[in-house]
Amino acid sequence: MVWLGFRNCFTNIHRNLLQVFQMALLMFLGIFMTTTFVRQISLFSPYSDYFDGNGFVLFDCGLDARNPENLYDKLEKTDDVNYIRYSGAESGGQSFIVYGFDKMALGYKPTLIKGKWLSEKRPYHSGRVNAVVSYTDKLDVGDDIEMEISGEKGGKFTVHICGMIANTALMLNPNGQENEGKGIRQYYSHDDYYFMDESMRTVSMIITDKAFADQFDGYFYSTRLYVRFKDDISTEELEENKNRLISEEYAVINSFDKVSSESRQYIFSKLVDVIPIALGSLILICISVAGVVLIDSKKRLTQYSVYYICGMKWYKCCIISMIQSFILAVTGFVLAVVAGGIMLRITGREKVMFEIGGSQILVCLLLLVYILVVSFLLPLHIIRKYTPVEIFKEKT
Amino acid sequence: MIKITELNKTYNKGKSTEFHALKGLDFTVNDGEMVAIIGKSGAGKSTLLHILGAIDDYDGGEYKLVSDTEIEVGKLNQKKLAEFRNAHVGIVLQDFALVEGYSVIENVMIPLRFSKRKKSEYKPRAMEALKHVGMDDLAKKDVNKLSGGQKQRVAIARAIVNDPDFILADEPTGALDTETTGQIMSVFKELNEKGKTIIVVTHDPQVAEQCERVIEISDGKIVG
Repeated sequence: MVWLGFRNCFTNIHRNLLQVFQMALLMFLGIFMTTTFVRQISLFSPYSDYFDGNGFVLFDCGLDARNPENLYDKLEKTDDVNYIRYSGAESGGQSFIVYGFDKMALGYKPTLIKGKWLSEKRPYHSGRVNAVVSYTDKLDVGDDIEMEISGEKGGKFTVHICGMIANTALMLNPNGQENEGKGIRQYYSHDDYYFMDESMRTVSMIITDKAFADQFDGYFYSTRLYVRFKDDISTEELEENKNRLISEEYAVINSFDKVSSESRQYIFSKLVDVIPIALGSLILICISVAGVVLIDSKKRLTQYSVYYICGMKWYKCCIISMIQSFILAVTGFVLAVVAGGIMLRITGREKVMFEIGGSQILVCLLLLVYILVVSFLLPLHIIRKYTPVEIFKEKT
Repeated sequence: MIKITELNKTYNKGKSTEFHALKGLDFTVNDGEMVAIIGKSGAGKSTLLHILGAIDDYDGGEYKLVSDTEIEVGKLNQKKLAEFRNAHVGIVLQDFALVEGYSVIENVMIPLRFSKRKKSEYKPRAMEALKHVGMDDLAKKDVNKLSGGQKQRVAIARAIVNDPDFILADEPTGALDTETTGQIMSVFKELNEKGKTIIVVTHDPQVAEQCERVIEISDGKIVG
């Protein structure tokens, strides 16, 4: 049966090529839609629970750097204060801005061109500080480099580069401008290595907050802070906290519930731009796939009748059809991946909504299930209308 | 031995278009016989052949195949009928019934793919069957490129590849010229001389002449 299904792929080759093309298009659209959806929510999903609570996004307007940990004492029912620390360093003539990402900041994993993201539980690698760098052509994953801390106090430490962020990939930005209406999207930014003047290229280096605290003794705090309060905080206590923050020269630039609702609206608006057209195209192609399967099955009735007289049960032609469609669908998937890969190579990741991850594989599997179901049911519908005797009589 | 007793077949039973195709047929075909079934168009020849080949069912009577065991075909379920067609019957049709796009040997191997034989047996058995019909040197050729006579030889090879109990041929020379008809009938005769039971349905008296017994059907009944 498997051989017969496989062999079907090489008879009536034009029809099969059409099916392969259709299935490649179907898989490509499925991957495209899923990637669009996943990319839009990927910036928000690591923090959806975080921003579902009560809290403020603050901007430190003070003249001097202040330790945000002090806010625990100054505010009522503070659950968590999150911020990013940063400082300068250099190695072999290359300047770095070193960021200490805490657990909250590490929640979002940017797109890495190589290696792996940091883990709060593993700040060190055999005595060297684990670090992820922004894109550069001067370093590589696996390199160990000696860092010299800028500033009066100085200091040295060795870094092991465990990952490199893709050029123009988004990452959480400790500073940066606010853009109303975009929710959490406004707290991300990206570096473009090739956009910077060669003489002024600074590489961002991210290490865990623990490693940062161990190595640096003179640093800056991010001007943007996130203060999360306990769930049982009252409206009056929130208002009181807000007033205290203003008096302490902190600007309350956003509330968590506003970030949460704006994030959802922003994602929705992005999806509404793209998904309806893609979904409509997907449905049309699904119908087209079913149509070609139907035509193919009808055209193969005589062939299946021959199998019948040679000893095959009549309904087994549906299984042959399924096997044929499976092979064509897998071929289509490979073609879609190759096409997507070529597009990525030419235009770059940020411009092409094409990735192969768990969600995309799941969607492709669902499309495969659809194809297999159609490839079984449509031939079944046809063979129920005809018997092999009728087919032979029609021919003679 | 094939034993047919009071065989009946009615199409569209109970409807206004009801047609009684076979009316109580009785006959036997012994092992090693070459029998011709003749009759005018619409007499019931093809209906009988389809029943003998287990392609179609029947409404009354008995159809038994007596070889090592006795098989009553009417009592078989779909799975057993498929096995019966595969193991006991070889069918040759007027329009050859070959799969276009397949090679000669691929067509001959089709019954083997539904059999319980090992894959390692497929090619040797297929080549042996092709040798019997003189087509072994064209094993890899696409069947679309064969002449009518060659196609029918391939169909015969496919019919014998699984060593069935008998071969059914429905107007096997209907689409062939006189010379090729003679060649095809020679192939059948050779197979029969080697002990193969052959039943040929034909309206051609010259084909019927070459068989050792003739059964004439008219209006669904045996008349001679």
